[in-house]
Amino acid sequence: MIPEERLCAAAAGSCEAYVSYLEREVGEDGPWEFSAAFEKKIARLKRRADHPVFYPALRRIAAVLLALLAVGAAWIAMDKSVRAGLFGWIGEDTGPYFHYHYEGKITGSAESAEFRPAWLPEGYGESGITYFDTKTTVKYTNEQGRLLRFSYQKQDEDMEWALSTVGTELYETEVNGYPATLLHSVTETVASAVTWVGEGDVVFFVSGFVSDEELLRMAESAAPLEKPVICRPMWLPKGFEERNVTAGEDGISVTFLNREGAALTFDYLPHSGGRAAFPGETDSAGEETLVGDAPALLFLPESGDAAGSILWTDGADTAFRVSGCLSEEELLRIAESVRQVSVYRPTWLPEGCKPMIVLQNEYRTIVRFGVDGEGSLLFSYMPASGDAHLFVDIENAETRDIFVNQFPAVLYVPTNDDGPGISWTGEDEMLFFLTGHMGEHELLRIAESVRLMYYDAWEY
Amino acid sequence: MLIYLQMIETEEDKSKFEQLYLEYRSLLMRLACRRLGNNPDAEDAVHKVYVRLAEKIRIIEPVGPKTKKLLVVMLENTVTDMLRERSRHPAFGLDEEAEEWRADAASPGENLLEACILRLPEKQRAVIWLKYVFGYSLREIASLLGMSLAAAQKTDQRAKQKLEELYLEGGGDL
Repeated sequence: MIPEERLCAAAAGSCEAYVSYLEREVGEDGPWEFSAAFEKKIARLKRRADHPVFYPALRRIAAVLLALLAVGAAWIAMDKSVRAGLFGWIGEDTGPYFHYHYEGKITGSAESAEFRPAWLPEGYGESGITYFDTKTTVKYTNEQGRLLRFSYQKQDEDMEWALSTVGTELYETEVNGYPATLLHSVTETVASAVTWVGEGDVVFFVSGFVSDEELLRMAESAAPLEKPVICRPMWLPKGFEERNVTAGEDGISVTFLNREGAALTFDYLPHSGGRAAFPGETDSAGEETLVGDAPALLFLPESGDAAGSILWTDGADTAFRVSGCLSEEELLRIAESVRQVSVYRPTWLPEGCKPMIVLQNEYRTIVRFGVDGEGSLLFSYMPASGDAHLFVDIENAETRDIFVNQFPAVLYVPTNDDGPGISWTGEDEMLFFLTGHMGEHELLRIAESVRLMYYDAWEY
Repeated sequence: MLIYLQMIETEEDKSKFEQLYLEYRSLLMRLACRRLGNNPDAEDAVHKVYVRLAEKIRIIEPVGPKTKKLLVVMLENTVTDMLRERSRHPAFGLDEEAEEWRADAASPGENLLEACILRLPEKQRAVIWLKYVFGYSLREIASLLGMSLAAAQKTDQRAKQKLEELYLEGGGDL
């Protein structure tokens, strides 16, 4: 970090040099002739400067009036750019580009929302997601490798969008009642696209080599994602660590291993519809038991070396199974501890860095990331209501106030060989902590990429 | 009681705005005209600067070299915003001479840190100057530059990050 004293001196020097340069450039031509309209406006300003209380009060009244008008008004037809302006995003056709930029106040609307199209043209499946600050792009591909792109941009004063309109014709249209612009491709090599400012003051953009009708249908199906059902046992026999999670048609399968290599699996299938969720288990009769209030079936092995399992379905229609070489008590205790959880992960990591181990209980989650099996990053989060505490050794560290996205944060810069750390309270009052042997900027970039996950799968 | 107290103004406060206006309006107009190319737009830019000044008159120092610098920084920032708003031209590029000057001044020379500040994007540079030259808080900077507090916080953070990067790239030692 550059010392404040040096920064002040350099700022003063550079400002002086720059302003002097500009003054020399424009010279001194004597007094400027101002227009009468300008002088009138300045006279009004002077009155405002002379009565600093009165004018802000008037402005507040005007704001209240505007709010009343907005609530009481029926739909008023208005020009597209004006309407977009009310939302904050200004969309303009500026020749070879369709250009968006943000005007107005950042309200934080839709800050934590994720959007997806509920309908896709036939043959397309999700092939990747990229997050870049406040912009998210979801890519879909079909068997021929054709790309379909769904992007959205949340409120951001620093972000501008310029969509090339070359090879397209522009048409005004609507997406769910929001004015939209269709960029209809007239060239084989250019994809058609539709863009609009929609729910939550978010700019949406869908493009692909599909028909305009398909593009618009996909656009109209875009909606906020519901918070996903992700479950985990909060208790495990000592030594078991989460090692990978796979998602398939039969649900989500989580594998835990202990140091001796013994495996324990936890499977769950949301919206199971009462069907036999996990094949094979219905071949033999299980012993009836209860997990909480839910009826369950317990399958215990005849020999001690084989795996036993327990199956049940909760009130929200999610089917569960726990299996492993465990005792009846252990199987039941794991089953009883299963909870729905929020999963947060960094969406940007240094090259080669991957999750290795997850440790979770109801008070905190710890994820260890590493490169080639060597741990290099520790990410942890805990809900505000939990009984866990975060202790950071500040005896050997300097602390600095920073921001992670828009949340106040503390940066710990160690004075010994430890890596820096960052703690902050983010979405849902969740307390996050991140530390690793890397530079502060890299660590901050990882912290800023932390998002709530809408899928449950990872593999080292 | 609070309202009455706030309503009390000194003559010095009352005339501060007028003095600042009379002293710097010509300089600001020339600077604005140089980049915007026509009088009505330049008047708009100068007016916007004085609007923010009027709103924050209590935290503005009287006529002096420091306040002149502040008004120039505010004007440059306003002109850039206006150019960007219209999108008729790229926001950076019209002011090629100043860009060239900044690039020259930013060549590693006697004071690397000064050079690095001059190489920062305009908004980030303005935030650094308002914070470290004029001593304003981020809330005050947000008002003076016409941005939200959150945006000012983010710009400040990014400016310092970028500055450190440039400084280290240029061979500086933290």
